[in-house]
Amino acid sequence: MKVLEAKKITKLFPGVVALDDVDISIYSGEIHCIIGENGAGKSTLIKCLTGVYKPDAGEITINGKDAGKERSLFRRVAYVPQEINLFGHMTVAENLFLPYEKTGVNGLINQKELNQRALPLLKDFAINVEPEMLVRDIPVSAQQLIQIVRATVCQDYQILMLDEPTTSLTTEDTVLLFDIIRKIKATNKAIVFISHKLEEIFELGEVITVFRNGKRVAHERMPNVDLAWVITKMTGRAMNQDETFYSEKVTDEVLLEVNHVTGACFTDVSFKLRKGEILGFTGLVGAGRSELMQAIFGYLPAYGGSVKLNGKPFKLGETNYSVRHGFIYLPEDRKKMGILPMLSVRENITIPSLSKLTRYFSISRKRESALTEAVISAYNIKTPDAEKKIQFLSGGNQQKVIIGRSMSCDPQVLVFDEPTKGIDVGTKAEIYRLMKKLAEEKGIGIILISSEMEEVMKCANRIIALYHGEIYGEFACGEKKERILSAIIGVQADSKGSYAHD
Amino acid sequence: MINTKKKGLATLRRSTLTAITLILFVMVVIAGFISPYFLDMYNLQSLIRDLAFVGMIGIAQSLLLLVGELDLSVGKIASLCGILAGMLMVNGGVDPFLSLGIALILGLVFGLINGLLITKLRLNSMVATIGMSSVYGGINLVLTKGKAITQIPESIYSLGKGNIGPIPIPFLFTLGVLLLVLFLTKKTKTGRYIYAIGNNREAASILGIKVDKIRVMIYAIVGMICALAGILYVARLGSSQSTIGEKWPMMSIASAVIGGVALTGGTGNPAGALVGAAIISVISNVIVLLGVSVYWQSAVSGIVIVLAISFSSLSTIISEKKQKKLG
Amino acid sequence: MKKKLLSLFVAMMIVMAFCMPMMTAVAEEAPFGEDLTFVIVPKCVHAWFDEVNKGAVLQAEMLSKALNVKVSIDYRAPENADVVEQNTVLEQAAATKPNGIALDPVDYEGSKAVIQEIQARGIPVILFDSPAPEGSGLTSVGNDFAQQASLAAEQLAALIGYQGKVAVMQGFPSAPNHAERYQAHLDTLAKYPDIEVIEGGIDNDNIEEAQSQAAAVLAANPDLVGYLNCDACGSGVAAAIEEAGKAGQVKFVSMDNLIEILEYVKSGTITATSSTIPQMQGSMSVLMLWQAAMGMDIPAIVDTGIAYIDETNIDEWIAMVQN
Repeated sequence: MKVLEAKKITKLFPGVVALDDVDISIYSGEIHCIIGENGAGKSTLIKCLTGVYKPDAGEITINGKDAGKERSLFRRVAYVPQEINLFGHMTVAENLFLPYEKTGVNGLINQKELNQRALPLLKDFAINVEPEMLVRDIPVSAQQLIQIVRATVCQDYQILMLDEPTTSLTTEDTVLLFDIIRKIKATNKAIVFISHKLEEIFELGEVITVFRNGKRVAHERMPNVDLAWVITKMTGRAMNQDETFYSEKVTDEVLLEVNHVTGACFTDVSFKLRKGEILGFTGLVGAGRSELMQAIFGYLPAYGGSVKLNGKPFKLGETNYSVRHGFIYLPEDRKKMGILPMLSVRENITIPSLSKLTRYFSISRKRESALTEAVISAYNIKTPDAEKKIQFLSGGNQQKVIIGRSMSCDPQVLVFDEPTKGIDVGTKAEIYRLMKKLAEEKGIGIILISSEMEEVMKCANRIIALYHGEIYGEFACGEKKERILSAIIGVQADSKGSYAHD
Repeated sequence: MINTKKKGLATLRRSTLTAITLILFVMVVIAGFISPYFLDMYNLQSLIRDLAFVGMIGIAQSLLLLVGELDLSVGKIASLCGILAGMLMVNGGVDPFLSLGIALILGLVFGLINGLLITKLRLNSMVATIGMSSVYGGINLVLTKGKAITQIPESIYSLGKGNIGPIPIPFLFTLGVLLLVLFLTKKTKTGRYIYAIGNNREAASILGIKVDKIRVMIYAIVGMICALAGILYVARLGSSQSTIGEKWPMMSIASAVIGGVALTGGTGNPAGALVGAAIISVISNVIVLLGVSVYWQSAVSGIVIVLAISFSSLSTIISEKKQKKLG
Repeated sequence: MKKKLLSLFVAMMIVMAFCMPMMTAVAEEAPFGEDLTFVIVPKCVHAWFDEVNKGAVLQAEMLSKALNVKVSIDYRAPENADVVEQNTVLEQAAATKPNGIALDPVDYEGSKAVIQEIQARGIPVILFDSPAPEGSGLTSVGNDFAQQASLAAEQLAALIGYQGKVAVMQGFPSAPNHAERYQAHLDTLAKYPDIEVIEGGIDNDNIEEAQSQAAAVLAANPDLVGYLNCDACGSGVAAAIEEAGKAGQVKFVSMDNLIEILEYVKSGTITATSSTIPQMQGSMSVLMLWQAAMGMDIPAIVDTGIAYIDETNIDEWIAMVQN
């Protein structure tokens, strides 16, 4: 049954056609995947379908009635946003049922009753937390699931829209989530699933709609399509899926030597990074990869151990020192730790190079603009102009700004922490190529932290698997995926790659 | 097409300061129409002399607001430095101008103490400076027992009371402070770091910016500017009063916010604080000129201040909406 | 750990800083039944109240000698003129079980409940520097504020030849003595048909505000001949008159005898000032409290008189206040 139909939706923003004459139909009991690069119009479409934006042309009907006139129909659409927006200082149960009017909790709020009502929900979704726990104390993956449960608490929803629900989930949690989604589908609800991870779409999807530049470019039933088709449609060009991005100019020269470093989330970690090498670090969420690198970088404290850069002792505990010595960390959470949201693209690009741009105590605007233009064109950053506030750029372009600006600090070691999180396929490949180029042409040592096994296997010359803050295995590129996977879930392998049970 | 868009964006970026300056201008024109005395030379001079002080503190405060902090001890630092300068020259017999210099350095030291406490012990700036405000106020009382210090040497009077041409000297100091602060924030590396810290402290730290060092430095600069305002006020009154600056903490924050400096940090122009201070001063001046009942004054000026703040936040909302649509 | 200790230490420092003003005069508890302690609670820390305290201490010393017991004064000034803060100070003072409390209320209505509670515990309370509100039944030591203001207004009227424009600046409207003076100024000037009275601004007991408000009033009224005010911020008005270059041209009769005000009288910017006699208020307060503590009936009003200070007697006053 067709629950939602959008006909000829057009949405204009000053200077931009965000959605151009788009048709889409959602059927109950079906999982409908929507895919497209950043800026293709997915978010705008979702905002139109959930009633946040009013389209400039076209109509949306829900259950055959015009939702533009009868706006209460939009309550039939349950929407789970990409970012976690729960109330950290409230309990799981409270988060599930807020706002109370919508979930049928009336009169005085009885904590016990709330907790009682939450229990079966948590059980159904196999979330292993207690209703009275505070949300900030539970794991991120559980938070993501809670967010989904919350959207389904409103009894009268018919469509569930999930925007990138798996970004913070581990592989096991993802499997669990997919089971839950299938269960919901079985109750004859319509599911709309938005994701950048193509393998997920192939696993879960039944129907696929592809967007590019505000237009619907393709719509097909899943069994009829393959990966190459999707990528071609998305990017508008064919792409080689088997392309690899290892550095081909690894030298013997040891650039970074980490000896027995211990910190809050990791113990006794030692490794070496060579010039021109891409070294992958993989592991489950919480394995301590980011914490390890942040400690070497000086952002988090290190309790013990020593580090050498170019054979000379490297001071721990001061980010300024690390940056000055060419050790640069590119954080995973761009919004929280990377960009300076209210400053312009220009200011974000030049911030680490200001010393070089300063003459007579003041920043030379000419030099600054020159550097900005150079970075924008060298890293193919898509922005209307350099004065735009960076918060209005897409995630991929923000990431390119962060990489571009780091390059002007003459880096020797670059740590990429989940560089492609929330970034679309086309841009991902651009970033991989960039890493390869940096390693090969400038001899930079690159550390790539990633939860995506495919990504590490495509890019890294060597892969180190971390489990509970300890190294559980080191693999050369081309290693079988299963062996690396067993290392990250705690089955120890020795450095030659043979198994050693723990 | 591209060109017009660029122009539009540039105006939007500057919109709050432009809009608030426009409001000030309109207010001045209206004031000139409704009261014949408003544009009187003497009235303008005393008005400008008044706003010089709150404006100067407002400019200092906006530096802190830019990194997402504030200092509620500005008034007490100012009066303590005024008292210390007065004691040095009256009781200590130190050369008046040397005393002023010493007081400036003491202001810097008080600011430095604030900054070190807040960064090293990771205190909340608001609570810490409320505490320090009591400390400085307490020292003031211990030293003066609430009495004014009189017989300040007349050689320094001109700093507070004098004019150069038609312009009151304290206002020239304020302009000087503004120019230095604008140079610092808009032209130098440090200034860019200040905005970076206010935008995203974690990102700033990851970029290798010495966040705490810059924060301490700002507190020290603020302390020094407070001391300057305090000693100029001594020169203006011809005596060191322990009660001056009581309203400066709140007035300076209000001025900065009216001028478009965000309380949350990272955005705004310190020049806005001076415009904000001017708006507040013009309001209270016009109210008196018009002979509004004294009992109404506080309410009327409060209403206008709230309107002015809403205007600047409104213009931010509008510009953000436009920006989002463009994106 | 070290950091924790350090932050604890700083926290303590800050707490102490808050308490410091209240600790300046810690009560010396009477060790024997006969020893007497009287508490003086002024509006806030202010030089004028220090003079009150001086008078009180002098009286206490006299009583100690005459009675051969230890009579001590516990002077507790709130940091700000704030009714809540003053109530806290009052309660803390009452907790030391003194033999009497003399209070200059910031806002009598706001402190009424606390005062009644203290009285119920058998501790006599009197007011100084403030008229006793109707029905309070409290003894008021001080001068008649209306009389002080009338005197100033009369003198100003004579100085300007009973004609011209006069501005009256309001102080802190909810302080009864300021309000009373303001009304008395208006009533007195109303007697003279050729005197035009205009709003002279409001300074909320703050010198900066007195200055900026007076400056605007002077600008708006070039024909002003006289100025009156209601609180101890006359130096702000005087600074504005001086900046306007109207010293002597605008006659200004102010209130109180703070040193900076006296110096303006000396230089002539302030024509004259009418002052209460704070030392007298202190000593009479202590006397009344002692009588009340002994169980005697005390009068409802004790008038401590007014001094009129102008160029004829300014030098002796400066000498007196500076000492």
